[in-house]
Amino acid sequence: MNALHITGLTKSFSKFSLENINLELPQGYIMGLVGKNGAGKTTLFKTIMNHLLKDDGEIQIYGYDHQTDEAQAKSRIAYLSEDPMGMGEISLKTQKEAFASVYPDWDETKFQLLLSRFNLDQKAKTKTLSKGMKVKFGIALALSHNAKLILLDEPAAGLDPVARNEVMGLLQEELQDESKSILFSTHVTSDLDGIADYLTIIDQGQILMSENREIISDNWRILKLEDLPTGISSQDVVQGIIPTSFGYSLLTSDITKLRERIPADTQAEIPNYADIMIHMVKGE
Amino acid sequence: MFEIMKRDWILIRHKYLFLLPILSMSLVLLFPKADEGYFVIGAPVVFTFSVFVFIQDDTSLRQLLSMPFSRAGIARARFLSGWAFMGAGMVYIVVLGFGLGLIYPEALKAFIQHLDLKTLFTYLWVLSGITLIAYPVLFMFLGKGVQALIAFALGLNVLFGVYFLMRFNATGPDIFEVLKSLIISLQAYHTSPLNYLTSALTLLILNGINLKLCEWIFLKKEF
Repeated sequence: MNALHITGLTKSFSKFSLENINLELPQGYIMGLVGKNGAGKTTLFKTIMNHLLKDDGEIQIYGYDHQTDEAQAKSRIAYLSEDPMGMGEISLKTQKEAFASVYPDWDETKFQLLLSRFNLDQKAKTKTLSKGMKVKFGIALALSHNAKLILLDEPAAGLDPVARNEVMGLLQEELQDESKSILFSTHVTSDLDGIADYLTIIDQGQILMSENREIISDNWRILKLEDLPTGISSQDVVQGIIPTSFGYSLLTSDITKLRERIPADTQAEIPNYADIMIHMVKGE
Repeated sequence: MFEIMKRDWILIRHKYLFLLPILSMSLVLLFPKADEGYFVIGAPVVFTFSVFVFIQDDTSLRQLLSMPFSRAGIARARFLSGWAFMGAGMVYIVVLGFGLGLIYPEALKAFIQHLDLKTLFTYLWVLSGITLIAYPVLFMFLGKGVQALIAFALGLNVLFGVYFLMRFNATGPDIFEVLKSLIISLQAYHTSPLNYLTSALTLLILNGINLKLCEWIFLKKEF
């Protein structure tokens, strides 16, 4: 079953639009949504959450439409936005009390464990927290009500490397429960290494690719070429070509289809997530 | 819906509740003889409390929109929270009126004179009149935080500006006189059980229409 299923999603503003977004996140997996600042990551999250109203398309969460079955759909979601906390004068304890009051499955033991793990004092007021501490508190809230789909918009932003590592580890721990799924956005591809099962790249409001890690590892390659074979750039499996000091670096999504068109001794490497993003966003 | 109201209450009780005794005490002290001015000034004061329910922190509203509620449910809860808060304000003023009566017996006598069903209905009509205009405006500004307050302040300034300009040129009505005569008419209407029933039904229908309008505005909003 798909935790998240998006088809033909369109949302237009005067100077920016999400165009024909199609996305599937199967249950039990982590998907990393990568894109430059302003690529459309936050707009996509806000549209999924119905904070922004879509122009066209369908969004389903565990089979529930995000507008017609809004309450059902959202009861399965934990969402951490870019700016997770407000109400600066109110203590974390009160914030938690208000938050927990609407979730029947609230897990107080887990929440307390996360607070002590993150070293957060419940008596502290939100305005006294650093950005990183706010994110940690937001994550503690988001993970304590047993949501099935966890949506995190730039959860690692504002965190130091140690905290970043801690948060990423925590997300992996969450996936021990195979009924849960996570979609998180970042503009730092290293956040995804070793954690994301799916990589999705968004640029200028369009999904450039969305692929499983195993398929990337089996089929995707970066080829180092001195010259470009005639007509190769028009092949649909060529995802991006970047000129380099030695010639060209070419990213393909299916090496088997290009074997006969390239020299036999061509160097072919499995791309990391940064390679894929650079070739697809910057490449021709 | 009641879960939303409960959540609102948890957040608001720490933030704004201290204003309630201050404002209501000023009200009772200002109008110990409790004539029609009690409605003219009192209703907006009590209404102000309900505004605090609406204009919460932007992030708090976005958090609410991320919780397991439909937009229509949130709109209904906001509407009813406003009325519930106004109701709480009215009860508080009554309690405080009795409390102050221990110190100012004359004020208590005047206060008790107005504690009847006729007064309650008049009060509900005045508050409904305010909310018919103000709630849709507040729904339009929901989630805009400080901008909403500025817009409200500007709007009020313009209204008062126009009003005083008209009064200065003696072309407009004295709004307080108009309000007073409206209130007197309302009180005079509530004499028979049938009139009370008609009044209650009309209030329900008016507020129902207002609620639907607010829901419609909220469903069209983006955050």
